[in-house]
This record gives sequence, C-alpha cells and structure tokens, in this order.
Amino acid sequence: MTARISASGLGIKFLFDHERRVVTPAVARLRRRGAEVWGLRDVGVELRGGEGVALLGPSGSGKTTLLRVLGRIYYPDAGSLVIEGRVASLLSVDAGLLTLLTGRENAQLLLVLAGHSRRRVRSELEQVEERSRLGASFDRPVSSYSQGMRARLGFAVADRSDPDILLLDEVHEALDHEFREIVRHRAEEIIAAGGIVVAAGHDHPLLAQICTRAVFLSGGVVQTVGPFEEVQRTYLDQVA
Amino acid sequence: MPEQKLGPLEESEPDHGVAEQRRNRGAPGERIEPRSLAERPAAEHDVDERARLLLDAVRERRQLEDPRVGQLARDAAHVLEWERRRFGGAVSHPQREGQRMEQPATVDHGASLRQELDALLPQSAQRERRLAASGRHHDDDSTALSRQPEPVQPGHAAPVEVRADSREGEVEARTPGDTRVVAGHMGVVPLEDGDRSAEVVDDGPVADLVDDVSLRDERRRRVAEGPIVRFPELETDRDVGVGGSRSDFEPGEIATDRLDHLLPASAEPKPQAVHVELVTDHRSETVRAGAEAHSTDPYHRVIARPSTDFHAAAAADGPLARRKRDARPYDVLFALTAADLRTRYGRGPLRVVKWLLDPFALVGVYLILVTFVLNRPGFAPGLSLACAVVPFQLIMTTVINAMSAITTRRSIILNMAFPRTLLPVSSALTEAVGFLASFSLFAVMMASYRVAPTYQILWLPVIVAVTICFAIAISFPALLFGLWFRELRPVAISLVRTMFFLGSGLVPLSATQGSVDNALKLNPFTAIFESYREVLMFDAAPRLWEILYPLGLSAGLIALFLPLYLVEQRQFAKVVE
Repeated sequence: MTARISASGLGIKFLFDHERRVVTPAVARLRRRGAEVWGLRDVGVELRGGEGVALLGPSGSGKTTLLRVLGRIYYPDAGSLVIEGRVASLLSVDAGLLTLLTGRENAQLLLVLAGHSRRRVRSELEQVEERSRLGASFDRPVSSYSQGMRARLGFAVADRSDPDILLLDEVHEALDHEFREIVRHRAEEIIAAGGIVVAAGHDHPLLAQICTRAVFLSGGVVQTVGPFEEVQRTYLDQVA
Repeated sequence: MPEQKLGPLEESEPDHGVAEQRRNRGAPGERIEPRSLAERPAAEHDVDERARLLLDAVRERRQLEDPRVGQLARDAAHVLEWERRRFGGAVSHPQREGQRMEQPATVDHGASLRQELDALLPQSAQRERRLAASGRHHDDDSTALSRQPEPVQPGHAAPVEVRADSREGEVEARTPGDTRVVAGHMGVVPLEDGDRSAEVVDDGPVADLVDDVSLRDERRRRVAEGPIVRFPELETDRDVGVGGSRSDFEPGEIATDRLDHLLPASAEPKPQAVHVELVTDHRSETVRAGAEAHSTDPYHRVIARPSTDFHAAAAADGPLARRKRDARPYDVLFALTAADLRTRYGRGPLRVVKWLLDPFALVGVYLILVTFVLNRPGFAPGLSLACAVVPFQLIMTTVINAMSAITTRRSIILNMAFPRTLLPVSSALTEAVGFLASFSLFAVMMASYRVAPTYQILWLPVIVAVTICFAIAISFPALLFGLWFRELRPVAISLVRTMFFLGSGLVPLSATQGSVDNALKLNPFTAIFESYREVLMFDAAPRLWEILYPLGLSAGLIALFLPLYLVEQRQFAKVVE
C-alpha cells in the first residue's frame, strides 16, 4: 500500500466575532456573533501514491487552506479526511522557524516536533546543515536570513522526516533556481517511491515539472480535477 | 666671469657628479655623439607625444593605487580577520595564515610599460579600425561592458604580466587597476547566490593577493574571499563590437546570464555557454558544468524505505528501534522548553543573572515595605518574604508565558502538526528553570538571618513539585484566556498579582488570627507560601493541607480546562493566522 489522501465533503469554517476577528467556536458561542466564512466547502479529492498534484486558483481560493488541512494543521469542520503516509509540509515562507533562534536550534526543534527523537536529531543535524547549504549562517539567528534561506532550511528539515506526502505552498517560489531544482528532484523521488506531492502556487511552469494532475479551486470549492494542462487551461481561461 | 659664478654653485649644491662629468667631457665635437635608439636604453622623453599621454594615464592610476596596495600588504591581519569571520574555521588553518597575503610582486611598471607600449599602439590602432568598420563606439556595447568587473579603457593600460604563484606556475596578466587574485589550483568551485554567503567547498591552497586592488573591487566581497577567485581578462579586440545576444547555443546549453545563481564565486561573468548535466545515480548527484564537476550535491539520496508499505515497515520495527527513532512526549517537551528559554531569555550568562537578580529585587522592595513602611515585627522577614516571592514568581511568569504561548509559536503552529497539548506545560517548565535558579535567594537569606537548614529541608523537593504542578495546571486556563481575550491579558496579570497580597505573601499566616486567617487559607498561594516557611524557617514538615490543597486545585483545573483545551487547540492555527 502506498500513500493515499482521500477527502470527501471537506469543509473548513472560519468564525468571526463582531469585531471581525477570527475566534474559536467556544468564544463564538460566548460573544455576539459575527460572520461565518467557509474557507473550503464540500471538497472531495482522491490522491493516490505516485502522483504530483498541483492546486491552482486565484488568491483566496482555498489552496493554502486545503494544504493546511492535509498537513493536519487545520482540523476539518465538516466531511472526512483520510491520510495515509508520513506528511512533511512547507506551508509558509518562514517555514515554521522562530526568528530569535539560530538555524541549528530551529532545526533541532522542528525535527523533534516532526517526530524524531532527540538522539536521532543530534545525528541528523549535520546533514540538515549540509543540505540547507547555509554554511556559517546555520549558526546565526534566523532573523538574519533571507526568505530563500529560510525556505531552504525549512525544506531541509522537512525532508529529513523522509516524507511519503510532501506539501508545498508557494514557498518553493521563494527559492533560488538551484534549490528549486533540488526541490523538484526530491519531489520526483517521492513520487517515484509511491508518495504524493501536493504543491500550490502561481509558478505554473515549475508546477508542471512536478505535477501531472491539478485541482482548480475557486471560492473554496473544487471546480475541476484532471490532467495538469487541461486544468491549467480551464483556470487561465476563467481568469482571462 | 661665468666660470667664476659657477664655481660656488658646484660646491654648495650636490649635482650627483654632473659637474664632474662636464669637466671630463672632451672636445665639443666629442661630447655628444648622436646614437640610434637601438644603441641606448629607452627613456621616457624618447616616447612620442601620443604614447606619453597614454603613459601619463597609467602612471596616474599607479600613483593612486600603489599606496593602498602597500597598505593592504602591511595590514594582512585585517584581511585575515575578515576572512576568519566570513569562513569561520574553514580558513583558520595555521599553515595558511602566513600565506594569506604576500607582498606585491616587484614589477618594474615603467620598464614593462615601455616594452608593452610598442605592442599596444598597433593593437589600439587595429581596434579603432574595427570599431570604425562596425560603426560602434568604445562604450557602444553596454551589455558586454556590464559583464566586466571593470571597464578597461582601450589603450590606457597595457597588460602587466605577473607571476602570481610560483608553486603552480600560474601566470596572470592584468591591467594595473584591477584585482589580481589567483588560486593555487583549480579544484571545486564554490557556488554562490545572493541569498547566502559563499561557502568554502574547496580545501585547496588559499589565494594570494599579488597585485593591487582597485577601490571598486575592495568594496566588493571578492577580494581574496575564496580559494578560487578569478576575474576574466577583457578581450577587447574580441568583445568590443560583439553583440550581447547569442543565438548559437546548442540544446542543453544555457546562457550564464540566466544562471547567475549558479555562477561560481567570482567566476567569469563573461557570457558563455555552460552545459549543465545532471547525473543521478540514486545515491548522489553531481552537477557538472562543462567537463569539470563543480559541485557535489549531497541532497539526493535513496529514500531509505524497506518497503513502500509504511504500515508494514512501521510494524516491522521493534519497540526499541521505534523508541530510538521516534520522539516521545518528553522529547517534544524538552525541545519546546529549550527553544522557549532561548526565545524569552536569550543566551549566555546574562539570563542567569536575570534569574538571580529578579527575586532579589522583588524581595528587596517588599522588605522595605514590610520593615520600614508597615513596620511589621516578625522573625526573619527577609526569609519569610523570599518563601513567598520565589514560588509566586514561578506562577506569575508561567501565566504571562502561557497567555502568549500561541502567538510566540505562531510560525510553528501554522507550518506543522505537533502535539499542541504540551504547549502550556512547556511554558511552565520554561519558567521553572528560572524558578530553580532563584533558589540562591533562600541560601542568602538563611545565611543573613542565621537560620540553619535541618533535615526538614528534605521536604523541599516535594513542595517544589507541588508548586510546579500548580503552575502547569494554571497554565492551561491562562493559555485559553490569552487566546480568547487578548486585550484582557494585562488584567489577568494584575489579578494574579493581587492574589499575592490576598494570601500570606507579605505577612505569614502565623502573624494573623481569626477570620482573616481562615480567609487567607482559601487562597492556594497561602498554602504554597506557608509550606516553604515551614520547611525553611520553622524547622517543621509542611502541613497536609499545604500539600493537598494546591494539588487538589491543580487536579481540578486540569480536569476542567484540559478537555476544553483539547477542543480549542484544533482552532489554534485559525486564530493565530
């Protein structure tokens, strides 16, 4: 059995109070009710191992929300979601890094949070340092990093968890060309090994290199699912 | 008469033997024999007017550059320090340090220029003819010029050959105003892009600075910065007049101006075709530029997976292997706490000083209040206050930390899934480190009041554990409060601080009576403060209620707020967005 993602009727709801702040359901019950917005509604996708899937759509269409659901960062408010496989995600430009910590300290923290024992982390730090290609900057505070450097460190850490499912959200677009190639190669390796790569972004040529299928989202609703070129054409036609 | 006037002049002013030569001159007919240019060494005044103009420009440049080159050569130490900062330990090899800078090679620029001038002038004329034929001016091809490290004024500077490294026999030619830094050998070239500093991937001999450095190149970071630093020679005859577009690339070749990020550090910016070949053997990948490999990619590897069926693979692992491989809750807790300690308190000895001084300062303030303002009598007031202040500081700082725990870890929460239940516990443990460090206050106060510790001090770990338990328990509602009511966080802090004064913080329970005594006991802080006083001041074991009451309250808080927290923690990512 390979990696698998199966979602049906998936819904993510954001609750706002009367001051238009996002609140939790508990607070929403206590306070005067504001708006209720569905970030995703009735999303159904079936992703099998060995494929790369691109999420296409304009800003605010729900790409990042769907990726966060797949990364178990958002809990679905409706529907069902089955994820089989070890998930690694790079869902924001800051890549989960704490800016006051050094690259090494961040790597230690993130690897443990990703499920590695501290003993294992000690042995893996050297490889993360090498793969992130940060050189001496690895021991400097992340606040001194550029976005590309942060993304590189984040990717190097995420990849150390040997994922079956890799989630990328536009951050690969912050990477330089050299590291993009590395990400692309790594994505191909994961796909070849029966894993799944889900990538969202607006760099369609890059997505086309990784993904064979695409999901077109608009307004939090899946519009089209199919081969990348067809879905891309549909999306671009709609934008035009 | 004229000869009499010349006499004193010859004696008073040294003429370096000119007068002697005059006296020894023969007859007027023998004095000056016209000689051909080939028979005598060339002198500057023999150069024609056009050549003199060229020489003047070169000489002026030399006069500007030479003092700085001398300064660079003398101040090799500052270059070394700069290198050390840049490359860390990679360049701090003791055998290298002496080799970092060499004195500039002695070059007779004047002689060289005179020798090269004859060759230069025909070349210049040839170039002028080519320019005229192509209808261009010297600076017409801006694309070509922009790729050069420094524009060379055709005809103004003749190449000066300098033997840079006799060990390798590498000869470099350069115009006087340019940097000439060469490496001992041409091994692996470090890659550099704009996002990161250069890496030393080559452990070969260190570059030597052998010629002068222009101001522009010194401002760059490329002066002797890496093992291989080269600037191209501008082939003016070939490049000037050549258009920027190149359409003769073969498939698979990439113009280097589109691969800026792949350029080796200070590599030739001259446009040229680079064939990039990717060779993957499933274990390592080598990126080859042309025929020479310049970077070994350590990134790619076999996905070490015994089976694509990860469930079967996970089941195949024994529990011991999983324990070594996978993080357990205390691993996560330790990592979160360590990161939080660094984030909140920084690094180094100063944070310990802060932990030590904080309770001292607080006790000092309260001590002045109690002994001088309130004029309260009592036994060892300083120690009594310390017994209240130290545990109270743990609770107080835990509440503050927990209320902002979500926002300070926002980036992690938004990027990855992890056991968020441990966040409040981590907040409490972070502050517990400072709490334990402030125990030195007890020692100081006991010494000041001559209170000797007894065997009852063995109870100290128990009451410390009770205090930490209470701090952990209160961290759950504190975190939720900070999440729900962000604007009310200062109010919550004030409420907790009030609890100090509504308990036996300033006045010990032994100094109160009647209904006040019973009311103070309702405050869980009273039980905690009194337990410390029993053990450290009164040579007694803590009373049962002093242990059980905080513990029971802690259990109640956890029972009440943990289920709520487990529900709410699913929404953390939405709320901190």
